[in-house]
Amino acid sequence: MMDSNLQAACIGQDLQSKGIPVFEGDLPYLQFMLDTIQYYSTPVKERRDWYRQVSILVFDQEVIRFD
Amino acid sequence: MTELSYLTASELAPLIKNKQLSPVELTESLLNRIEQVNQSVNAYITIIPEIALEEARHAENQIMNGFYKGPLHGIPIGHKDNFNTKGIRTTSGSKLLYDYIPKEDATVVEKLSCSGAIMLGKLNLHEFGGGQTNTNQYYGHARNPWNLSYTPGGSSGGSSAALAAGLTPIATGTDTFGSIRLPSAWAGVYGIKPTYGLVSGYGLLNLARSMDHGGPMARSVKDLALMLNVMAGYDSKDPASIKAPIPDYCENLNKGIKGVKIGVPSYFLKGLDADVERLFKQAIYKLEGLGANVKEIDIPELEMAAYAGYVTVTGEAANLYQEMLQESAKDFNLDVRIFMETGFLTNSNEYIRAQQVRREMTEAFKKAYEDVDILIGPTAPLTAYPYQSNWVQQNLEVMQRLIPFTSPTTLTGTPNLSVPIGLSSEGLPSGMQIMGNHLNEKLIFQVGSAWESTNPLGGQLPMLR
Repeated sequence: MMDSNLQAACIGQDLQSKGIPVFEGDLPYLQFMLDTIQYYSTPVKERRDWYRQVSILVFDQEVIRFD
Repeated sequence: MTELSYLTASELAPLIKNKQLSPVELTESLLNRIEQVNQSVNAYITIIPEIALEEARHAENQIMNGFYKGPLHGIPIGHKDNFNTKGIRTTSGSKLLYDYIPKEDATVVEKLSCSGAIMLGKLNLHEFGGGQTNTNQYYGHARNPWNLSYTPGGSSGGSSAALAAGLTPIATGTDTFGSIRLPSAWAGVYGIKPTYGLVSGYGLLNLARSMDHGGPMARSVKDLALMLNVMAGYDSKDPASIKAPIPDYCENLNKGIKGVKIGVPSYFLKGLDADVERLFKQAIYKLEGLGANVKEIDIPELEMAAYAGYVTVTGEAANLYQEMLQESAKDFNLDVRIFMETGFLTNSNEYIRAQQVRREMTEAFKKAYEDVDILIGPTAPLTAYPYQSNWVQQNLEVMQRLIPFTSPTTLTGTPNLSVPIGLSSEGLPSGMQIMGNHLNEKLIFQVGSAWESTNPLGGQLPMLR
């Protein structure tokens, strides 16, 4: 488990590498968002055997049928 | 003339058509009310009285000369301020666009103007549509007319507040992960997120292009149907626009729902506040009383919605606003900046997986609709809440509870109507989502209209205090 200071430093570095200015006060909020995504990813990870087979096309003529 | 303020467009239209009510008189009445009330609810960012009155006089001349365009002719409207309006400031709720004057109208605005609707002004929103509360550091928070210390929901919070406060009979909204339905539910009004691509997104200032839906908001289901009759249709200027037959959405409003099969996904029954649970259970009982067959069903794929919603919207928003964030990050509302920057911290693998989840969910919904006609659930697991001083953390925490409820149908692009279902013990509205398969808006309106006949708010109006 990475300590929270190190995690914050990684987040800051990641943003900086993409040219996004880093504000120290933002880091705990960004960590909160990443933790939220991590929490909600559990049911997706549990289905890891199917996702590689699924098309990434979200909406097409087949999905929105006109009949 | 406060009594005009709460009439629906469907009630106003025959008065205008029969020359019993002048569009000028109606527009003046609403502009007066906006002048009195907008400082409390902060629903409008920009009000355009001179232009509105000029349009009203034009509509009146046309109608007096026998040229009546239809039920929206002479009806005032407020547009969410992320729809481009030619020659009128369009801010998207952002300091960064405080002086942006578009050169042309969004297709939605153009269509509604052509139908004779009269624009009163531009409505407040959560900056760039990137949040669910309508906190706004630059233009001020929109306020919930049922309790002015509370959020009206977002991001179309100006639209819901204006409707609930009687500051317009109809409004436009946009919905990326609940931004039409949530504010509708929390302010006790009606709003539909139509099928993805049914309403043109041309001229809409996007948040996340693959999930942004424009749609109507109003104080009745019939008004939504009248608006969608105008707003729907193929637009060659929008690459996501679909070529689909457009029915008369008003046709089945009085058909009732005897024998309609309604499914309640068990997913939507978890984590509800006590008031929401009570009101939703009462709603199920009432729907059965109207003749519907209601049963609980299981759609396990819904459990993946929150992940796909977060990853898709933050990723697409980060992509869209990258240059602005690089150059002017400080000018964003703090919570919106956080939300968008999160998109830089996820990766392409996660984004692709989120799109695969969307496809899986779409197929799961399709399968569910082989068994039932309609799905329902609470629009949100909680009612509106008071703004707190630490609203950034509050917004992120509340979003964590809301996204599992509001993101599934923006991920699948399926239509979804929010209707009021009653008031909580604190006197705050709660809402129910009525969902259908792609392009099934007509059936959704049929169910919504039957529901509306139960008078879910008992005729109560907000106290504006």
